[in-house]
Amino acid sequence: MRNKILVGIAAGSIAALAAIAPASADTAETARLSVLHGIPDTPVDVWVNGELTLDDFQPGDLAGPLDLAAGDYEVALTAPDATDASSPVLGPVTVTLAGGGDYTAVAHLDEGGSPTVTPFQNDIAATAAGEGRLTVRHVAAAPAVDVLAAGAPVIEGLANPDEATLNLPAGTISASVAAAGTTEPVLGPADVTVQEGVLTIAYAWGSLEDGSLALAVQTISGLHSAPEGVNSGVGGQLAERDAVLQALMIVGVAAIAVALATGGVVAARARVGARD
Amino acid sequence: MTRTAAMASAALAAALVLSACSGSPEAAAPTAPAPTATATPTPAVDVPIAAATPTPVRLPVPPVRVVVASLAIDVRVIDVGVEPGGFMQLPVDPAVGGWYRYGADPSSADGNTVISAHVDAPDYPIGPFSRIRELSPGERIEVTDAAGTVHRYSVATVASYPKASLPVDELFARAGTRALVLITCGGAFDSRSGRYADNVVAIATPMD
Repeated sequence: MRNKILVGIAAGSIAALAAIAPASADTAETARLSVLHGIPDTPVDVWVNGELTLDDFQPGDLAGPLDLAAGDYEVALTAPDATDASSPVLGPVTVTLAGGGDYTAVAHLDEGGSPTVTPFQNDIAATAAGEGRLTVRHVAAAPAVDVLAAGAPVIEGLANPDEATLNLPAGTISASVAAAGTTEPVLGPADVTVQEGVLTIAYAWGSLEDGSLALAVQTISGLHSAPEGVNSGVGGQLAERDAVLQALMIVGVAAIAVALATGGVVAARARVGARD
Repeated sequence: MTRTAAMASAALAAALVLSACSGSPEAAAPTAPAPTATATPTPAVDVPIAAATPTPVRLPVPPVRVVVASLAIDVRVIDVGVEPGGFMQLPVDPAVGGWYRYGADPSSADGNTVISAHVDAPDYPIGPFSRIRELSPGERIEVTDAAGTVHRYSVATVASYPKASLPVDELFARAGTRALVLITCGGAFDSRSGRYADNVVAIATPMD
């Protein structure tokens, strides 16, 4: 857990946020932050840069997304009835947000069961057409786990506080979480829908010892790509028929022209004949 | 403007920016932390908070039939995805249309409904979509969905694009437009690659 001495940031620092969050912020200069409360049985207030931001935040809840100017932020958690952030139960922890980034800060138990805050950066790169993305984050007081899809491990040896990401064809998979190297589920099996163009983030949180292991889910949509193109003609018969019709038209026009010319000659001969 | 008034208006601006970006329906009134030790403060911004559980996904109502009466087009439609290689999948039979299942359907609040069919394919007669190029603005297209609802559209544009210039991001857009997009092929055929040079695209807007 990192600590930083707050120097020169006074009360009323909502103005500091205002100074670095202009009303017409360019997306390259802003970042997006969500906050997940993954510490069982402990409602908290969340303070950002000394300002109350989340009031009576409940375990299992996800707050945000919040658009903020890129930069460093001090995040502190206090008891729900605190009047300021001077006596935090957790933090302050510095969270660094880079412009254009999407983050989730997670308050959770470490492997040993002590509360901590881990900032994760979410992979919001475009997905391939027809695919979605699944990120799994281990933020539970539990040893390393394997993630299984339809009973077979797809992520192995995931420890607290690490994550793993898979790009997958859109569809539904039956997923479960088991102690690393085993297949007996400690969470699930549950149907996980991989939606096309969507990042689904699954958090294993809580405490194995206390029997409070649970799954939290966050989704970020709008990552889809269009297909490369549409190849909607593979036989060539239409082009061939068009060519034939065009040729017939040319022949037909020529035939009409010949008919007009010869008809004129016959008429001229008839007139010549009539004069005799 | 005094420093206090400037800070107050900056705080209001920040609160409005942050609450607008976080999707809150009302702008939060900014409240500075209370100066006395007994009063508890209220949050400076209104951040949406919800249980971190999967949100129910809207089930699409797929199109099952496309009719263009003026051109004697009446084709069955099935749902399709993406082929290996990233191109839109299509039914083999030119008489069957494919609806891009990852995009919008006619009942979606937003996004284009994209339906495509081959103009032709080996061992099949030339398909009904070969006549898409004959559409004129104002002509009617009717799409029936799986629930039996008939959605009516009016042709806005018919255009031809070299394949490499097909504006896929606009045609397959999922927001900011609710058109019906019919895509097929046209132009010269390259028998070596088995491909047409162009895409023919008709865009029609909803009449309902």
